[in-house]
Amino acid sequence: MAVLGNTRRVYIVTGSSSLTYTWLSGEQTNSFNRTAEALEISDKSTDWAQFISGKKGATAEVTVYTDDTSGEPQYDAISALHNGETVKVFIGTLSSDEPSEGDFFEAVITAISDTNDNGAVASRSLSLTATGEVTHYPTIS
Amino acid sequence: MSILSRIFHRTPAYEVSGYRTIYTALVERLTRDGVNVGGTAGYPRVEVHSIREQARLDKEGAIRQINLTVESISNKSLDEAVTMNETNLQLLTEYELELDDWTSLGILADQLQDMTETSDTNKIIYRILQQITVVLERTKTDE
Repeated sequence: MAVLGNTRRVYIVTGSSSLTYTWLSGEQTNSFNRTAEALEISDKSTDWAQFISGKKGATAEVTVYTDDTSGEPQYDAISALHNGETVKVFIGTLSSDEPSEGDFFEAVITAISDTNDNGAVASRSLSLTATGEVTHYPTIS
Repeated sequence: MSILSRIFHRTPAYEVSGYRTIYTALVERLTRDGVNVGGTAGYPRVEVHSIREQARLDKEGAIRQINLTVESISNKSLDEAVTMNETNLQLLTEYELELDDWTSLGILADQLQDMTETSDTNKIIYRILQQITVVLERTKTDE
């Protein structure tokens, strides 16, 4: 069933045994991209190229209104970039504080870009690259 | 943000617009002796009108951009209308607006236009239309 983009949000996830999902407040838009390498295994038996699926990966982009309050998710993201640390992220919808539909992953923050236009609310774009497996909800068997 | 609000991470979506609060706050701020503010009769007067709230700028609806017109109207002279407009801008920007449930992130004076027209009774009316942009942020409350 189709849903509005408003409901599929970016959450910074903290905790280990008990996870807390904190919405990246001020979020305007996000995109999540899953990729898989195509490894060619063609041989002379056919004129058509053949491939198998190779390494998988994912990237995410999110645009928010800037909020540099200490302790808030954007501040945590900037800290992670400065310290070379990863962040845990969930993009999707929650139900009763648990992932309902979306993707959970650990990510390296590769870019944080601020835009400060005259007469507009200052905005910030974050680029993330997933490191390791992405867990999809509902769970994929 | 408090610990409780970090656990209960889903802040409510703010569906209510900033229309009512901005109109009330502007009329209140612009009110001064000798000028009829908010009404539609009598001179000199200031009207707040053509309020247009843009679509929600973020997924929570916490940031709203409102464009409106503050109009200064005089039946004496263009100079009186211009002076009223400058007083309006001074009043709007000298202190932060007091709003219910919202915080003003800034008030920006945009385009300005003057109009001179003749009333039903053949009097000349001088009007200064000042476009204003106000950006509001919903005041966060701990859950």
